[in-house]
Amino acid sequence: MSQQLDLLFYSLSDQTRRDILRRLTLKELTVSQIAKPYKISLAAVSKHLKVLEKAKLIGRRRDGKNHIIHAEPKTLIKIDSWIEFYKQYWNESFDQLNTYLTTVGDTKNET
Amino acid sequence: MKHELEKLNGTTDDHLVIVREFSAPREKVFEVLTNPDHVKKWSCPTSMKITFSEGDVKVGGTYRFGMQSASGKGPEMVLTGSYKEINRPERVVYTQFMEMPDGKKSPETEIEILLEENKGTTQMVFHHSRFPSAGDRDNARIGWTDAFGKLTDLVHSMK
Repeated sequence: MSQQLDLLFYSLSDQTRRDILRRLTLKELTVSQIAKPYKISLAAVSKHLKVLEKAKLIGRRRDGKNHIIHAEPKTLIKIDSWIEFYKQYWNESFDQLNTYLTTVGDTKNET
Repeated sequence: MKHELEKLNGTTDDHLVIVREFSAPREKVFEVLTNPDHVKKWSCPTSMKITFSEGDVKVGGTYRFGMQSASGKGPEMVLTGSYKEINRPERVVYTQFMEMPDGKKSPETEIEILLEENKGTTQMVFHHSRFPSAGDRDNARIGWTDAFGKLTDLVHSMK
């Protein structure tokens, strides 16, 4: 899997991160606004944000003391493309098919 | 040979093409591609396993199979669809979508497989297409972003 795609999948694999992303697609928020509804610590939320940032799913800008976080629409569009997942899925599956075929006997000569 | 074939592979936003060669007669490849008992043995990445596989390989018939991480942890993803055209052993067309635990469905896609044999070697041209978004307006369908969320739960539950 390409590194970027791997990062995308990894960052989306967590429910809290998906929820953070969902909220950011509606509007941009400060870090404390993001953290507010979750029971985890601010440090934990910060870690989640770093993961999302590394995957280029979100970006941040400074506004005085605050960090304002926004979702990155370009990356989101790429996620919405189901193609990359299926490409990987099918290629791995067909590798398995190839191996499996050698174990399947012919109808005439069962091994 | 493999590199030449790879040049034929391609993707657009709504369509992906995979070309592969198998050292087996066409009839056997067709059978392994469609028979649910065979499908159970190959149709997932090595890090996952197929939990069940059933199907009725006839026009209008449906198939269903489940995938889960090899360890058995994490959610089960169900793929299902129905057969639109069957031309054994050279062509099969069927639909596919993901069934979510909450009863919702992912957008429907279509798969077309073409098989050609040359002296015991079968070449497969595999098309996977997504229908234009007009079909996604159905309330029962969820977006691919949500579907991907479930998929990544699945993919990463084994890490």
